[in-house]
Amino acid sequence: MAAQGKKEHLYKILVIGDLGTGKTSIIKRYVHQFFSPHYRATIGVDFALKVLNWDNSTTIRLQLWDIAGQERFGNMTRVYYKEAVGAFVVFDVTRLSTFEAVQMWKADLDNKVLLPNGKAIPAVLLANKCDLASEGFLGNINQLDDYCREKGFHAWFETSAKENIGIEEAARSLVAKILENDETIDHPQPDGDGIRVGEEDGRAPKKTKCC
Amino acid sequence: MSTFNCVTQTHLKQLIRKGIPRQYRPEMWKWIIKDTLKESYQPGMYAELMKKHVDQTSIALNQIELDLYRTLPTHKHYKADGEWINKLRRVLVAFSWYDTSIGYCQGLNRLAAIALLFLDEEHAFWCLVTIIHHHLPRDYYDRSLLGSQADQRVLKDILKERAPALTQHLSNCDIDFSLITFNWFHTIFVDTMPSDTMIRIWDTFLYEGSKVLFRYAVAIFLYNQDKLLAEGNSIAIFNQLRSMCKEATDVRRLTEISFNEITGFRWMQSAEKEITITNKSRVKLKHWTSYEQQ
Repeated sequence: MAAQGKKEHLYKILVIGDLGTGKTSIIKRYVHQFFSPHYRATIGVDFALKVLNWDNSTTIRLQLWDIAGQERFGNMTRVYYKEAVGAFVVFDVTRLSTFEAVQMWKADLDNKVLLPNGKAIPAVLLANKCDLASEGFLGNINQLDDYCREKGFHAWFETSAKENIGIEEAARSLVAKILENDETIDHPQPDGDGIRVGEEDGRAPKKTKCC
Repeated sequence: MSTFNCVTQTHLKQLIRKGIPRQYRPEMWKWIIKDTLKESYQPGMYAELMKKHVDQTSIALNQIELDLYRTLPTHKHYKADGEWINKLRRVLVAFSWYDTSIGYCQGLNRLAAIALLFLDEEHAFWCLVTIIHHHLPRDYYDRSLLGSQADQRVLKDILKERAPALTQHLSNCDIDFSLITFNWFHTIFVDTMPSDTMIRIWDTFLYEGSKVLFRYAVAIFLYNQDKLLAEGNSIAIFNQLRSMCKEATDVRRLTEISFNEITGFRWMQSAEKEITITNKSRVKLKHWTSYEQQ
């Protein structure tokens, strides 16, 4: 039944991180419940849409922006980050260099996009390919907790797109944080030039990017 | 080579625009590459580069390794380990040593993979050199990607002139189509286009250069214009834009639009007008304009 007053939200979420960390695989797993080792390297940006029935009164559409991982594409991220309200930063637990790049990606993010209240957009760190991790690579969990606090990550999750580990949980955590922000932030007027993150049921979004 | 010297350049251009017959493609591409590169073409250099750097490693090499199997993963030659993947690796590695200011840029793997389908390794390497050093501005694949980004500005400007109603419509819907078209240019349509159409564009692109990309890109928009204008929902329009390159099978019609219905004259004005972004991209755009005036 078409519930009267059912809330709909449209959120733009970025998926960033070094080349070959599994960003596309995570998105395909999350959106299509499917894994293939044969995805093309993303050039520029690709898009996917995930619809969540969050609760009885809320539907959430997530636009997932899958952004090329090679460093030089970072020159284009300002355009890609625009109006995003959340991000996943992905590294590959089998390659230390991709973890070292995490702070670069986080800094790039905080530098180029902010919430309407001037705060950083919530970011969740994904330690991907955990099915391939050798013992002890991640150090102990407390260290990564400290790392997240220090670098301003909302949370971190071990994930495997291949084995379907951690992705749903990570997404739920990020979306919950976005919803929380959404409720506490004063929405700009529809024709203001701020970021408009929500949309009323049945009405086309006015100032949101679409995918 | 002498065979082609018998026909005039204009006649040859017309023939190539109609598509090079498959059995002649390897020979024609080789001839075009040598004819374009002239003295930069140095037989034997490919083998020398490989020999000289045999034991060296670099960031580019690591990145190439990560992308090899993610190049054309569903293509019969590139989906698994084997001679084709090895050839692809060698061509990309050789290029990364040939031009260390570019090294390896994602997207070059797609170009090399297509070149290898029609050319031996050495010529596939020179095909990359032709595209990167002669047909496109030098900052197309370098660490700035400025050329690639500036071309998107030029495309916007051309489209504004060629299809003002469509441009207005997209703008009203708050759609930045360069999010989609960047990929068309950066991979010379390899990433998104049906292969029959893409190879036809490559034939013409290799002979005529960068402007061919603009012609076909604008043609794809014009071909789909009515459908796009009829749609009012932003998300639906964005999805149409994403799929229209994948659905570009009518190569005859697209070629007709590209070369018979789009005239070159106004493009020069459009490119000159667009000289605005930064000092660096100003240089780039002038380069493009002067190319057009030849």
